[in-house]
Amino acid sequence: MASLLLWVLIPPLLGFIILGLLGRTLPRSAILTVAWGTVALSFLFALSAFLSLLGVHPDSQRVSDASVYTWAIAGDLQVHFGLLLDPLSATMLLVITGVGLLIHIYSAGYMADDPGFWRFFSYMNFFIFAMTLLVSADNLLFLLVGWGLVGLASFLLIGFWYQRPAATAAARKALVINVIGDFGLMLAIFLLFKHLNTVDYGYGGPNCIPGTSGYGVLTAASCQQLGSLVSLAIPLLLFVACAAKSAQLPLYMWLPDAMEGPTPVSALIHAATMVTAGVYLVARTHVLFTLSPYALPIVGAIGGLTALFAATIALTQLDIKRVLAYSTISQLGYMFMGESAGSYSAGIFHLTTHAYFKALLFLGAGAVIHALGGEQDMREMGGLRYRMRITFWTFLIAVLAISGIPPFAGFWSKDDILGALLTQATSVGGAVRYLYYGLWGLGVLTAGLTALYMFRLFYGIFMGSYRGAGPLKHGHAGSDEEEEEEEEEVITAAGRRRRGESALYEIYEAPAVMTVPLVILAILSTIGGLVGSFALFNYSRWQPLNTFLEPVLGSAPEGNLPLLWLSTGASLIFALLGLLIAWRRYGQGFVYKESRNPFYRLAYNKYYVDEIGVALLINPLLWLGRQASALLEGGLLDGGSRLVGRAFSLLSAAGRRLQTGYVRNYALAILIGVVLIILYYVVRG
Amino acid sequence: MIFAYDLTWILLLPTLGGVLAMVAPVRLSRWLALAFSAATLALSLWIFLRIAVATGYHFGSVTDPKADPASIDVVQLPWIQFQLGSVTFRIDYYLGVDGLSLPLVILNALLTMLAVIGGWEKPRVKEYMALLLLLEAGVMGVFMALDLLLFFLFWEVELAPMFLLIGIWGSETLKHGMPGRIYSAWKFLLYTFFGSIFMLAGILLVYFQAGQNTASLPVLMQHLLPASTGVTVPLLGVTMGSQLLAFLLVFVAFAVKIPMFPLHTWLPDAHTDAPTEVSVILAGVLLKMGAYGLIRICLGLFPDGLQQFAPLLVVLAVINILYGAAICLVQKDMKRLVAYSSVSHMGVILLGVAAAAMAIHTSNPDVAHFGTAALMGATVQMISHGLITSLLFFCVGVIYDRAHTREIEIFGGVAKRMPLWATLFTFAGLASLGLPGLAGFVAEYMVFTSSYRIWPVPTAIAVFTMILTAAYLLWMLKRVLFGPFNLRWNWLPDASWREAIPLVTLAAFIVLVGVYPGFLLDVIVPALHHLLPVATTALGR
Repeated sequence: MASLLLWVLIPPLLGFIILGLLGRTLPRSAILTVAWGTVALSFLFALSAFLSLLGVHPDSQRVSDASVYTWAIAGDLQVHFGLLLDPLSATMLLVITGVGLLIHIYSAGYMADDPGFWRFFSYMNFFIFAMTLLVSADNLLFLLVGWGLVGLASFLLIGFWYQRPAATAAARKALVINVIGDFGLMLAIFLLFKHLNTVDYGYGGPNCIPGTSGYGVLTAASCQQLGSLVSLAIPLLLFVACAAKSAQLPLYMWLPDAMEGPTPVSALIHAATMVTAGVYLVARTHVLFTLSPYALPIVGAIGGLTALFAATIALTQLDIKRVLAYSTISQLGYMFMGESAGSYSAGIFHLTTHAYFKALLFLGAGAVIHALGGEQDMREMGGLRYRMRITFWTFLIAVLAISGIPPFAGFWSKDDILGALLTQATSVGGAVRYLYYGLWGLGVLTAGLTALYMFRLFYGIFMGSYRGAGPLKHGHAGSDEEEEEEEEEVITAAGRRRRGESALYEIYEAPAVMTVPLVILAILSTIGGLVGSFALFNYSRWQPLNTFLEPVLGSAPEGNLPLLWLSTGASLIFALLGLLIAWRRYGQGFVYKESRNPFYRLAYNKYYVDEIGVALLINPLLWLGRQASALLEGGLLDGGSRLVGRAFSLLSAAGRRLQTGYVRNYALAILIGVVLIILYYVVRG
Repeated sequence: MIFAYDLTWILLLPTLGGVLAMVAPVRLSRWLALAFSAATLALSLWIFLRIAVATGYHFGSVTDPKADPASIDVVQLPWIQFQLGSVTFRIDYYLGVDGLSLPLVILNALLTMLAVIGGWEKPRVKEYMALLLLLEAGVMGVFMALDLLLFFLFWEVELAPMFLLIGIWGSETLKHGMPGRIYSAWKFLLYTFFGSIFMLAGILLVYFQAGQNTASLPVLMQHLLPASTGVTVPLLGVTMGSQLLAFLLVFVAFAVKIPMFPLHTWLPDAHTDAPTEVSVILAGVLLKMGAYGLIRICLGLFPDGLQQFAPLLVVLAVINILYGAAICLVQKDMKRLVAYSSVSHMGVILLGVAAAAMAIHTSNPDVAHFGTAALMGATVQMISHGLITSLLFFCVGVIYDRAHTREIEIFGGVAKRMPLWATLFTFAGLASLGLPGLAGFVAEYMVFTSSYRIWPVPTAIAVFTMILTAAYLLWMLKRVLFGPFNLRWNWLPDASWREAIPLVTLAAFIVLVGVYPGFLLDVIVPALHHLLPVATTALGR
């Protein structure tokens, strides 16, 4: 059954190879056939894998592991490339290939005028391959392979418009921070391997005998005694990787910069799928996170702080994609909070709904950017509801979903997380419970902030009157070098560009190839939450997602009803409050005011984290390199070796003096020698 | 007859090719060089296939007296033999290939052929081709010699062509008052010679201490030097085990070649001043001579010595890795950057060997088994570093041939004009930074995962260096290939077919080793398995 997954992996890989080698020569229709076709095939295979899993009873048997080939055997080091099909990987695969397919379709419209059309789709196919590899690998090593390859895909796609300095700088930053994550993941793998002698996940209940089927890090960890230090180090190192990939504090800096990539990339990689790999990894290896009592609270604390931190930055940003980027960081923090409360399925649930509505938000923003010819600044927008009806309505649905307004998808999943946090706070003892109370408070507060900044964005784009000057003429594709000059030309030719209502009529709704994915995602964002739990209505028999994931993730602690309602009520009140404030301030249209408030400046400048990082980490490292290069390498080692050479040549110069070639000099030397010898014997007696 | 053995022809084909390329007219000499280098490659592949088919992909070990003769290829003929009083002096013409050396022989043949293609349009092309082929013959000898004195002979043979190649075709940039090519050629020669002297002393020490009247490696491996009984070093007055002493002497030569900190400074100079193809051979094969010697001779003959030295070797390995990367961060010349990245990556081999040496010491069978994995990783790193760094040097060479500069800062957005080249250069950079799924990752993973069991902290530092590696390689790629297009480079043509052949070939091998390393590991494992148990029994005494 798991071998079915091989067919999920192969089509996008083939698509990447075909497009990479031949894409330049292929016509557009052929490029799209390959790009869409391979992802569609992948989706169909993922769907059939999912259905075949559903057909297995009882639930605990829903796991299948197939070894594809032996990667390496050396001594006792044995690694196989294997695929694991279980409810978790099936869910992830459906989300990746499903949302991936929609975004591939959308991209045909968004990237239509780009000269790198074929290159774009070949990278996108590569990403789908890498991401499906990441979630379907049956051991940590191939998870790491996928982990590295998605980082590469992200690097290539962020830097897609490679002529833009900002894009290439962002791409490099993203990959370097990803490698920091790889570093953590590798050390975690080494540590696990050292103590357990395997990197396979293992499955099928505790099986403590090495080498037997089903023995792996997840099963062995439960029955092997690891020291308390090791059992804390493993989850923390894993979490370093998660924090880098999922943009958590303090490794989040790359994600806002990653918005330099084309918008469909932001939707697919930096919102819906790749950045959630960290959430997946915590869920997949949750057994390891429970080994130490400190691991999950630390995960929760970082997630909670990130959620709030990013939300405050999102409040002040003017670039619509950056608002969404910070919002993604914040929502990822939410998912980690949910997982830290032991409710892994809540984390995965929020991952799923977030994939729908955040992809929708990005694609909607992309439609706006497309219509405005590349404009991303909110100050140049407004009033677009008249010209972009479909985008307007679908964006509204997404905003309602992310703000947690019932009955949209985000409400259910956010509610699950908050409920789990409050349940955890009331059920655990000791000081940890204050942490969970605090996290719950952070979550509720962030819910309010989320509604506030999302509606600020929504009003800024669609409501009020139009503040811009019509679409920029040069389009959003940044790969032609004449970009800068062209813009000036437009302005000088037309004198001052027209502003306001009349310019609005130059703006058109996106083509159907872009709006159809928007509508489908809007439907998913509306009803996608219904696969969650109805525990709130005291009807716990309906929780299909939780039940499906239970064999892998275990069951979440049951909460009591009044508590859940308290949590729901509080978060709803805060969300509505946020909505209200946004309506009061921005309902009549977004007005940008320079604020001197120091807190505002701090948030607007992203708390200067980038600058601090450069000052504290990068500059000292460069200084070290420069010193080593100048003093040690150039001075001591190289200079030293030249000094030795110099010494020898001086010595030989001195020696050369002796060898004059004149017989009289030699005769003198012989004479002196004879005299000295005679003297020696005379003195000795 | 000596000519009846195919190993003889592995030496003879490039030598003949070199001579013919020299005497033939210019038009012919390139094709002759290509034909003879291709023939050498074909012959080495044929030996590989013959063994693979005959034994069902079971490669043996030349130092294992019980090895299946079909699984290895050996030739042993008496060469020099004379008696001086009580001392019998004997050197054999003793060559052999097994799972450890055959991949390196093939790598050498492959890279030389690619270098011939790469240097097609050099000035004074006849001499260039001739020297490249003679260099190949010398290096082949090093990888195949099983008699220590013969090994030493080939070790020195390789110096002359390399010295001339750098000294004649190198760059004219002034360095310390003389043309860089002269300076760097001398530096290369002197450093290597410095090491060789110690190696000769070490080999003679082994020869006379063992008292077997032969320098045959397999025989000496049966009669290891005593580890505990000491010799006092004359001038220093230090007493140490004779195995450790012999190890240290021989190791100096290998350390220079690898190159190990602080004996590495010849490398960046040699690389920056050598022409492209020579850099490729230098990084791809010549550095591997040191690593090969470390594994074949030091681990085989001086397991205890190596082990006593291992804790220090780890420190040196980590310094190599970290120091090379730190220097890379501030390099301004592409080739110099790649050269220092070599220093960093060769440190991984040292780490692997050190871990393997420690592993055989322990009575813990669990750790002992991962010695093989560490050594395996070190060996794979030889191959993958050979492939990846060669690709990087070829790529740098392509742009240097056009722009006549390698200054990172003055390029920008070149990917626009040279998409094929840019793709391959990016690929090489990613492979070098250890992207999972490519060759470099396999080796590093195997070394690190094994060495972590013995030295967690040094390994963690080494793994941390990955981040620096990513930083400097991506910085270079970003500055050269991406960013705003510098119109000054508008005339640059993309890589030609001739230039693309080496690039694509190497890239294909890098993917193959990365995705399916099994085919390589299965070749190497038996040779290493034999090497480590010998060492273990030696310690058991």
